[in-house]
Amino acid sequence: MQQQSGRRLLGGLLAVTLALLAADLAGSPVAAAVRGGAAMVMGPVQRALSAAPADEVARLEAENLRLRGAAAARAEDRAELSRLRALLDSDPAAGHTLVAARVVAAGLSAVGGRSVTLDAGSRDGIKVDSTVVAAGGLVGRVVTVAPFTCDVQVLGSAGAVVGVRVGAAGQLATVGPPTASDRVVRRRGTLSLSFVQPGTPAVGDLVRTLGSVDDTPYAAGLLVGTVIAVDPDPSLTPTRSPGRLTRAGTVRPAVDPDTLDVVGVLVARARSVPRSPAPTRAAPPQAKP
Amino acid sequence: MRPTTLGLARAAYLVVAALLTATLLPRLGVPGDWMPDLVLIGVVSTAVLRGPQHGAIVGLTAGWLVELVPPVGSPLGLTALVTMLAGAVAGTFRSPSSRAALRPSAALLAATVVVEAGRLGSAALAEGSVAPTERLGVLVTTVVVGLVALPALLSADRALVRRRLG
Repeated sequence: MQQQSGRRLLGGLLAVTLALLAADLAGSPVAAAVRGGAAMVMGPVQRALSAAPADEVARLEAENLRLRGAAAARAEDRAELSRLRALLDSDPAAGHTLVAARVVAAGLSAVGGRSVTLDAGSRDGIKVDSTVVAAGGLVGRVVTVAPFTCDVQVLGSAGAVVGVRVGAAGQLATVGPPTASDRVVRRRGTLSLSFVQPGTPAVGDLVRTLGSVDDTPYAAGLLVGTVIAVDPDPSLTPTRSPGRLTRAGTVRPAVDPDTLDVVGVLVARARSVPRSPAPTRAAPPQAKP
Repeated sequence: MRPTTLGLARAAYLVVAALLTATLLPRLGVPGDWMPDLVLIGVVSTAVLRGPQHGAIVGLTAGWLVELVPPVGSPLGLTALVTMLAGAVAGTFRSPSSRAALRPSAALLAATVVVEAGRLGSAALAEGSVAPTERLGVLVTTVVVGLVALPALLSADRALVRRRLG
């Protein structure tokens, strides 16, 4: 009799155990409830058993605060390192030597666009008219240099006009801030594209820098943005675009100037080795007269 | 079924042992690798007197106790099953008459081996690798503490039974 009731008790307990084990493995809320209940009953006992002296609590709290601060600083460092790595691995940085810098101040100019201050200066080898890039593409050019900082004229500022090639064909154009001569209202934050020669831009065309002598102020081939709208043909609607002969459009910049953080300043390298002439195919034999 | 003094004493011992192991001893500086399994000693002391079935019941209950004293074990119930097995194994060492001093200790050694094997097995399943020598300290301290504690617990148990309180 005793044996039988014992067996029944064991069976019941075993069934409950197995059920709870399965429930826990399946992530059922029942197991969580059991955990919470156990902690609620046992917690006060444990706290009384291990009653920590007050000064130790204060010490641990202070240490906790300090460690929390250290952890936050570490996380910030890691985030910045990853941004720097993204910049160094990015397309604009490829093939160039660059000085990494951080935006430490930004000013909104009265006529639109903005200029930013970087924490790198002439001590770091930065010269006026160096190109500034971010992971996404072109940011702007350096306009003034101090020993420890430099000011950058961001694309879209008044007076920042960049010679560009548009699309796969590489038609020449310029990109600048929206101007009064535009007959189309452009959204804030976009750039105005105007062709130098008759050309036909298409929405979605990539706009890259044309490049200048010694890569200053703008190195060649950097992504400036994407064409997002094309103005009506001026030859078809002369009344709407008086004084314009070529097409124009709207460009969305590749880099958002509002979220600039880690940027790179391209350091121009003087070319010391002259270019060697490239061999070409032999000319076809010409018919003798 | 009225709770007996013996049953209450056993339950009290198990609760105190579980709390000691989880809370007080680590604070007193006993390292985790040398923590004697006090709860298991209590289970074995019952099992060697009552046999495998009783040992299994007490082991299962004690395992749940260990599991529910925070930090609550995960997955819930695994420790209970392993301790139940250990209690049953210890119960097979029961001898009706003999008072051989080594028998309870041998039962304790077997039960500890079962518990540690279960722990290693679940660790191998969960983490993919185990260090069997790490738990050797627990085995040694549990058996050494058991050499002292088991005779005391057994004589207390027998004394309560003799006075018809069990």
